[in-house]
Amino acid sequence: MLPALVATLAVVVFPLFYSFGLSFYHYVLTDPRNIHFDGLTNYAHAFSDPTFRNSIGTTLIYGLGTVTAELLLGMVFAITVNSLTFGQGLIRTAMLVPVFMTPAVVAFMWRFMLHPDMGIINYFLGLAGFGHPVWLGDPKLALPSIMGVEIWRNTPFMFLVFLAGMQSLPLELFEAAAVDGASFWQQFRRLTLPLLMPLILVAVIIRGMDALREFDTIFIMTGGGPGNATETIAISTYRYSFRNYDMGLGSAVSYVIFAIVFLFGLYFVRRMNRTRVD
Amino acid sequence: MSRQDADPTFLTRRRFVGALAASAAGLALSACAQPAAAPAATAAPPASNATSASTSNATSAPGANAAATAPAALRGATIRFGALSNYKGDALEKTFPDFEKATGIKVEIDKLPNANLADKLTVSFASGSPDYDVSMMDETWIAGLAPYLTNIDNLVARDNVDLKQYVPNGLAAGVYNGTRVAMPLDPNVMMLWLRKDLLAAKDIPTPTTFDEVIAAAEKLNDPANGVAGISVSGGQDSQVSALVEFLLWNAGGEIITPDRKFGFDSPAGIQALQTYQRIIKSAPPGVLAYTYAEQIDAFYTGKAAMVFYWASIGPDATNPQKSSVAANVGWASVPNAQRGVWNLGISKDSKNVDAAWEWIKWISGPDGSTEFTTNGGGHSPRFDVINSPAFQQRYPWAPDFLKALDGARNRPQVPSWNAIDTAIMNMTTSVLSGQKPPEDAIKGADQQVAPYLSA
Repeated sequence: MLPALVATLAVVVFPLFYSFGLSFYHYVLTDPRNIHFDGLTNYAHAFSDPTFRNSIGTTLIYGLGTVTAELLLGMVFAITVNSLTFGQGLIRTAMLVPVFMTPAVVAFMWRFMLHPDMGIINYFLGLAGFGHPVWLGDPKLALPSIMGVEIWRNTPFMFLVFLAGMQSLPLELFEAAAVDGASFWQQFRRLTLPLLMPLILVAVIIRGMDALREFDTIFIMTGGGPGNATETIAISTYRYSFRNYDMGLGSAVSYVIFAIVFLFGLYFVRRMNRTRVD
Repeated sequence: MSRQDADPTFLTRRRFVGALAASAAGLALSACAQPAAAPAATAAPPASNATSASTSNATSAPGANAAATAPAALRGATIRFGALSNYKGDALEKTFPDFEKATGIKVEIDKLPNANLADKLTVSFASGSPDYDVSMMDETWIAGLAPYLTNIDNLVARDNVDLKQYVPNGLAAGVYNGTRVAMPLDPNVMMLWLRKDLLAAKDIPTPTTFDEVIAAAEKLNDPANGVAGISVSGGQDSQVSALVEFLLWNAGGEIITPDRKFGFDSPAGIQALQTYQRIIKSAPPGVLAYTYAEQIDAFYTGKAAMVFYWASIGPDATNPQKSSVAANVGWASVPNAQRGVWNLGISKDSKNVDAAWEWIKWISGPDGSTEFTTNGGGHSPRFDVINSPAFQQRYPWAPDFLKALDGARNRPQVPSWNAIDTAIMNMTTSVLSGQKPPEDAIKGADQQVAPYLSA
């Protein structure tokens, strides 16, 4: 117990407090003679930077957009597969493939598939006469493209959670509802959805926290570009910390993500507790 | 005696944990071990326009016997060396046996990709317990790393290293605020690489200025036949900032003005961005997603008639196994080209400064530099090596390389160069992709850059 506690303190708690302290310092690695306490300057600097303000919006669009799409698609797939009388095992196994793939591999794979000249997607679009869109270089297409990849990778997670939940629901309730003449839609709205709500909230919390902190897929596919079109707060944090070597500013920005993820988690955990009481 | 004592195959928790620890240690050791050298970049075949302008003999240069004069006390020392995980790192690794034979000093190499090496050096040197005694470093890292590097001036003077043997514009990269903190390993400069057959077919003479390059690109651009006029990067890549910085110089601007202002915020800055917008009209259709890899690949595969890129692609561009247009590749130097020198510097917290210095002296000396270039690692910073017949045969563009390097410009030596360069890259891609007009993009970049200029 004690070693585990020490390890947790050393690798989780200490860095957390250390980086919080660092966020109040002027701490640039390439300017070692000028490290000093700087109050809230880093936070003020971050919020006065239009690129960073833009990255907050991009993070919210990316996080909310991908989680909503994954939730809806996961639910539709789960309902569809749950109603199948054969082939469920095969579909479940096939759907696991994107989940098991390393995010970096997924990002590289899609980057090649979306390549404007050599990508397979543009090859078929070209054959069909739709031209050769520059998916990751056009500011209008870059964010939807990386969101699409994220949705492709994580919808199976939602699907598997919802399918497992549906298959554990008591059949008697649905049989009774059917006898009473409830339609499929009424059964879904009055029975399936309320019974699955705790599971849905857990899945949304897990995926939401991941999506808001997403780094690897975006970094590999677009690097935050073109310009700053796909720069999320996680990419900003990397840019400030490891491109600019401004550890103070990087720490301040990382606490902004922390605050957003914390508030998001808090809201959904409270919703979940209320659902459980209801 | 219990069963676990009698039976060595019986797995107890203690044995399992022990085995796990041993496996982890083994893995860690194997990760630290030197991997076998990968094949280096293939050298360019001899070309007919090679010139033999040898002005001195490599073996007669002062410092040639530096290894032989290495103090006996250093024999058996081991130095940790940070290097790039590409053909340069591989070429360096191949020289270790000869260096060790000459000095008795062992080199342990750790090879990392460019960005990771920069991050690792900055973080580990700043920590005061550096991971490496000596490391490769790009010239733009020097200003930021300078506080953590050993002053080499004293070592140069102590060992009478003849700095006149080094190309001045390459040697200058290792000096920061008047103090030498690094020695050049591999100078690089941007050059024009072109298809001689396509230029000849349209009766276009080899361009000598970048205005002529743009005019030639517009004439050569032939989308109907799948050949673009020129290949450049248009995505999130440092080649974008390299090109726009060059265009700024060509327009008469400076990246940082003498009064420490962002130089793009000027008519020259707007002109540079507008010129880039003009250039991409003669580039391959997917240019907005191009990084350096796609940029040079478009030239190698015949999709572009020209590419403005570093001299280091010469060996691959002229190698038929790497480039389908190798037989028709020509080259030219262009004034104001950007310089990029790979240097070697020693951590000031290293406990092996003398041994690390012996390594730098040897590899940047005539023997080591000759071996490095022969292994395909890059160009030499030394006149005696560059002007040797062997080098001129292997790198037939050497005279143009020297001319380009002589007239090359360097990026400002500021500690926060990375931050400035990233802002320039983002500014440029936002203009190229049509997100912002040049004026707005420059204002945004100026806001990002200003704090790093006032620091």
